[in-house]
Amino acid sequence: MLQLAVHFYEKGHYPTDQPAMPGSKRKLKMSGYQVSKANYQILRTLIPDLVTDIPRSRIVEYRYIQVDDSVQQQSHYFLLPITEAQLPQVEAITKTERRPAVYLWRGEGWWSFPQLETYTDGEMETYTITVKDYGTLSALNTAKPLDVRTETRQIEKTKIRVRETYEASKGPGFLLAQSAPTSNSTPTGFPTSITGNGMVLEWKRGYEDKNPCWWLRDEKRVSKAQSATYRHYAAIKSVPNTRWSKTFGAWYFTGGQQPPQRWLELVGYRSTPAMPPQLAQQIEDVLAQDEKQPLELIPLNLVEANYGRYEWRYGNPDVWCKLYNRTEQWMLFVANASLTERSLYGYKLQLAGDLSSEGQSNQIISGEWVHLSIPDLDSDTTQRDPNFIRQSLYQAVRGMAHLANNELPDEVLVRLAIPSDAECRRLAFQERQREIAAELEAKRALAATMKPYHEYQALLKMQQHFAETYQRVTRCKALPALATPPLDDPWS
Amino acid sequence: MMQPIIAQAFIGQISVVGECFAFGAALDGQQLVYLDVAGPATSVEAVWAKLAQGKETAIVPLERDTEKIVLRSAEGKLKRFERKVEGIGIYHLLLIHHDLLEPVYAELSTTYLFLTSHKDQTTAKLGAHIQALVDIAVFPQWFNYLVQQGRVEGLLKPLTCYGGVKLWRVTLDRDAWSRLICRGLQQQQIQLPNT
Repeated sequence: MLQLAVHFYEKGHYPTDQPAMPGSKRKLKMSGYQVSKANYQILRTLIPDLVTDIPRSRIVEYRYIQVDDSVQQQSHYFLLPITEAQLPQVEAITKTERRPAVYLWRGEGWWSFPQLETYTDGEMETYTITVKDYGTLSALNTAKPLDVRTETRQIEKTKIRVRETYEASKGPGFLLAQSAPTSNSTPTGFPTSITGNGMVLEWKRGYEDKNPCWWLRDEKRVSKAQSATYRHYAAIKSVPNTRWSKTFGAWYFTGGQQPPQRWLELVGYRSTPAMPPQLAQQIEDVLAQDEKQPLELIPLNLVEANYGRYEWRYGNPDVWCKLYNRTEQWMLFVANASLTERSLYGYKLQLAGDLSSEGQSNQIISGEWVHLSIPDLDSDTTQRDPNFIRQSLYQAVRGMAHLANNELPDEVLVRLAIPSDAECRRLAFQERQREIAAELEAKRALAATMKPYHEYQALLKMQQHFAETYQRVTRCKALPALATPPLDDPWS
Repeated sequence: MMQPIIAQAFIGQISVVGECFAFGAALDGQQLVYLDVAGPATSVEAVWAKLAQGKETAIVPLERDTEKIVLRSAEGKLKRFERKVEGIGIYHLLLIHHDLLEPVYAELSTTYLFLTSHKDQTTAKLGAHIQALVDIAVFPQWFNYLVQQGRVEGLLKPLTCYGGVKLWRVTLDRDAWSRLICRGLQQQQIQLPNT
């Protein structure tokens, strides 16, 4: 299938020579394309119905056109299907141009059209130039005649001719798909995502409506210094049809559905031979067996056990875990755990009947506080309730009874020696009151014991103060009490 | 005979406008009697101006843990003597109580005496004060007795002094001094000179 790529310079809004409003000086703007004159001729020849001129007052270098949306375009090129019969019309135009930006896609490659080309054949041309020497500025003032000198130079002659043949060319810089676009088909023989060496190679659709292609990116978003793709920049870039997407921060490959071999090496992908069927069967069996195991063993997350310690002092601790033994029909609300003794402390409810079977009536028989060591619980029949959320023991037992369709009156809870939350708060308050009272009493007792000592201290202090004051006072008063000065030296 | 020299020693700085240096001070209770400072002209004059207005200022000793000496004076009580010290460009200022310069003998008043190394001079000065004060004759032979008895009676009292200077307060009480002389004559502690 033949395809023609016709270049346009720019897509934009261009002013026309028509006023925007009647009487206005502002010119109307129309969106369209800026193309060269030769390409305009080609488009006019091939798709006259789909091209409209933008009326301009002057046409100097470019033509401005509007092209119907149905014309396919890719990266500044219109892609037009063309037949062999139409080729001579295009050639006639390109033969008048030097390096026209029109290319033909034929047989998996781009071809440039017959066109004008320049060449040199060694023929020299002679030309003379006349050089006037004006000298220095001071020389200008003198009436000396100018020094005029004539030089003869030679240059190789450049000639022009028409190249009559098609030549292989780089073309617009992109390749066209071999066949009709099969956008949704995934590549065969490769997983759609390969991770290795800190990079991910994946088959993904591009931006907006772009066809899917192979993308190579870093496994995580990292800085440039740590980026694996940046480390292999040269290797990635050396693969043809590779481009960097700034939007996605990844490399993408437009060369086809097979990822380039170099990229596969970079991510360490090795096409592995198929697994032998008996091994696959074996793995399947093991997986199936794993799935069959219904019981969830207890993950004893002891670390979080210590949270309940504060409430524990007031009789109705937070229950952070519920264990259930199906065969022995008991339930343990774990309230505290000791990492060193490897034991759990909790409220154990003995039940009659199976809780798990719906509708069957069962009854709470008794409850007691017990210590259970972890090896005791290490049986398959003991199961942790994964849905149990942390709550008070009162709420937990009530909820459990509700689950068992066994509405517990408060008397039963009293019989099970589980204080209600309000009662617990009251107990806690009372205990705190008792503590404060005891503290006050201890203080009072201490004060009574220490009273003689403090009195003695106060007395000592007063005595010392008195002594100091007395000394100060007597020292001041001592001045006039001096002896009579001698008569021979009365000033001494 | 050497001129009696009033002792001078550095005691601290006074900061009012800039800083000046104090070399001696004497206080009668809270009243400043004698101040000896040196420093730039503006500084020493600022000290005088402040004291003359009845405001207080202080000498700050350079030694640590020493209390500052607060200087106070009633308005118009101090007389200023200021002189430029040639060669070093600083001014020497003396503030002296009026009672020391111009004692009033007509009524009960006080005056002050410098006690220098020449104590005879001080004794003679005290004698002159008393001669001017009392209506009876006072002979130079009695001066030592007067000093002795004046101290005993509390008519002579030392002031609080700083910087080596020594000042005494003399209470100019005519009756007290007359009584003192009469008692001395009566008790034969002093005699009239033989004519």
